Amino acid sequence: METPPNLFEILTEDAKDRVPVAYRAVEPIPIAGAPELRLVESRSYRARGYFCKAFYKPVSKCVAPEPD
Amino acid sequence: MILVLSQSSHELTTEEVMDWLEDLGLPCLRLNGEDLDADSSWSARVPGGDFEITLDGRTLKLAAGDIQAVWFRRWAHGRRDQPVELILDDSRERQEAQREISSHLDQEMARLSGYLFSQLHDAAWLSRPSITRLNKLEVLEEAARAGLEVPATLITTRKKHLEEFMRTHGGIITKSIGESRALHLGDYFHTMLTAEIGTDLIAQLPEDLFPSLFQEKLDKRYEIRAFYLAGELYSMAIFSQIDDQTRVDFRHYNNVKPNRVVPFKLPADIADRISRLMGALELETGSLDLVKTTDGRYVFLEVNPVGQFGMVSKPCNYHLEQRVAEILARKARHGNSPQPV
Amino acid sequence: MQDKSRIFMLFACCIPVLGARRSTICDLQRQTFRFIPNGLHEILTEHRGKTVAGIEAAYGHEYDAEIAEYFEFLIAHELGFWCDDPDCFPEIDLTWKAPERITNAILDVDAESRHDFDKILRELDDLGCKALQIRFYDAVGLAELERVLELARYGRLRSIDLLVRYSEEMAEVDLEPLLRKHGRLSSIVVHSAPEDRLKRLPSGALLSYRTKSVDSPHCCGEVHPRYFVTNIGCFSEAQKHNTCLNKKISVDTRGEIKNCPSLARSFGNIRTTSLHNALAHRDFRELWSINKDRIDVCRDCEFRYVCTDCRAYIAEPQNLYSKPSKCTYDPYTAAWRSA
Repeated sequence: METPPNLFEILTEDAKDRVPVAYRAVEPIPIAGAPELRLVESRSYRARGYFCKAFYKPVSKCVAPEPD
Repeated sequence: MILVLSQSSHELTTEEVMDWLEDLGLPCLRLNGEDLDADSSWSARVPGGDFEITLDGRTLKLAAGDIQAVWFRRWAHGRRDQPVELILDDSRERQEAQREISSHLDQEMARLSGYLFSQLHDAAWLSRPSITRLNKLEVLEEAARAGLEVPATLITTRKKHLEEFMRTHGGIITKSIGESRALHLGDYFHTMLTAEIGTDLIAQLPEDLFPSLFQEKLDKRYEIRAFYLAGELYSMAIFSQIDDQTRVDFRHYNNVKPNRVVPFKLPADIADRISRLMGALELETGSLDLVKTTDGRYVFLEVNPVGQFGMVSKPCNYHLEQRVAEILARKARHGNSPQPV
Repeated sequence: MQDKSRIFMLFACCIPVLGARRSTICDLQRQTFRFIPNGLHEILTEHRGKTVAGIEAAYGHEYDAEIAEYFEFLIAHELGFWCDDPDCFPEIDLTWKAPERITNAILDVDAESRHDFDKILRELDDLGCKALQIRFYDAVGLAELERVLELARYGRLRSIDLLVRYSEEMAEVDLEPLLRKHGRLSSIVVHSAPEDRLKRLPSGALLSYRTKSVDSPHCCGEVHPRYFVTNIGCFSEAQKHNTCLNKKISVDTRGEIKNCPSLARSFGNIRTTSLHNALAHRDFRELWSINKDRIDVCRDCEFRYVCTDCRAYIAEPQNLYSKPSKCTYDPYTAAWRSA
């Protein structure tokens, strides 16, 4: 993967000396690295983006899951 | 009726508390910050009017008199202009105008929310929205007054003072004075987490700095995240020191091998001081960060008034989602008077 | 040189479980388990909170070398830590709670089924059901799947698993868009397929083709390590409840409402009654509290809190507390009987 642009590096030389010191340690985290969430529509008075995920245990046991 | 103020997505915790409210037989209505402008339609007549909100084809009347308790979970604004460009011209002055319009629209929405909240003033709230105005530096002052140990902290514009501070403490860290922000740039979030800074970096700094915050670097044995909920304290120890990736800031999450997190019981004197602090800050909820140092001291770092309690509740099996629902039920019945559930 | 005055503590999410021949440490946070000898289980439970010196003395200094080796193993695998303040580290509370009246459900469908999916889904939603598995024993069209998923579009279900029979309509190019469109879908498993194939989407949803044929509920009830789940939900539920049947409801191919489609007893037909009525029957919850500690053989098994039970297919049909008949594990020899 390409080296990410560093927020501090894209500041002008003048600006670099005029922002908080913490800006020198800003870390880029790739957005794609975060797992894709399964947000689904719901009745809107509850939520619009409703978080879905697999149940915490097998619901039935007919076909054993294959390891990925 | 219990009103839940939240945001429209990424809010598993809100759903879970609502499931518990249903289990308790308490009707509740969820209003997301985005509902005030994103895709709902509504009207309110001032003075003294009720909000009539149409969500998903259902018209709901939000009458202050019907709302006994309000849970202020969080409140994110959506604005109907956000999907579109405000001005199609990237000249400098028009960019500036675009920023100003955007900031004005935000302010309009903030005023509107403020009005909605004030109309519900007489309900019993679990955390008033005013808590979001907490200032980290004032909190450090209050924490010290409450008898909690806080890290040596310096805010300065002078490199010379920073160098002295470094010499005194050996290791130091920097973080933002207010909330840390994740800035979106390209395919990356640029996050300002707590970062250690060394003499090499200090040498590169100009003599005059933007006011920046520095703290002594603590030698951690483990970190503590505690959720304070209406007088009760639920704590968790985070073993961030086994993994180099998480030593300075555990939010550099290692997803492959997550930090060990376990239920923790703070010593009674520390818990008492935390209660005193929360009382002084007039907070009913808050997520607190502390460090247990290698030499056995408990050092308070900060409190986030609308902290995520799911990250404490789930691994420690505290069932805080149920506890929040029970406290809301108590408030709906008895108002703000502190009666045991 | 080890400091013998130190106290070792397991991380509270790492829980030792004693078996007849060997034990496990169930790591509820990292969702895995490790085998440990029963001797180490004893050290970690009966001698919990003692210093190393105290433990060595308790065994008359006969096993000092082994004890040192055990602790090295536990530290190396990050199962515990040297602790100066043991009073601050309570054990995890294993109370299981759920606000839902029903947490999971099975709906069976074959060519003869005449289900009113809309009614069933609405009732499940009202009961708070979070997970639904729909098992199609006979070929089903893509349009029918789409219709059922559309009915579930706005409900409270968090997870839908589809088990469908292979046909030309069940091609990857057709099912993948279905998984993308319906975020509630956690998995589609296609049985009776020409080959075994597995695909995981970026969202975590699973598309799996399996050669195994699933033509009736008799295929259910398997016990195999691949079904084991080491997490706080299952482990805490297993303490006092049946890990398969607790808060489960099912509708079989004929519409009979049961605890599970493999069980004989019906609590009424969905055409003439409701899931709510069936659930209100005083016998409906009878099986919910049969936990592994009450089941023969299972109670001596080191996997008992990570394994989901089966009460439909049991070793002695007359004995409700006999072990699952499809389980080939023997905790007394710590061996799986090859099928």
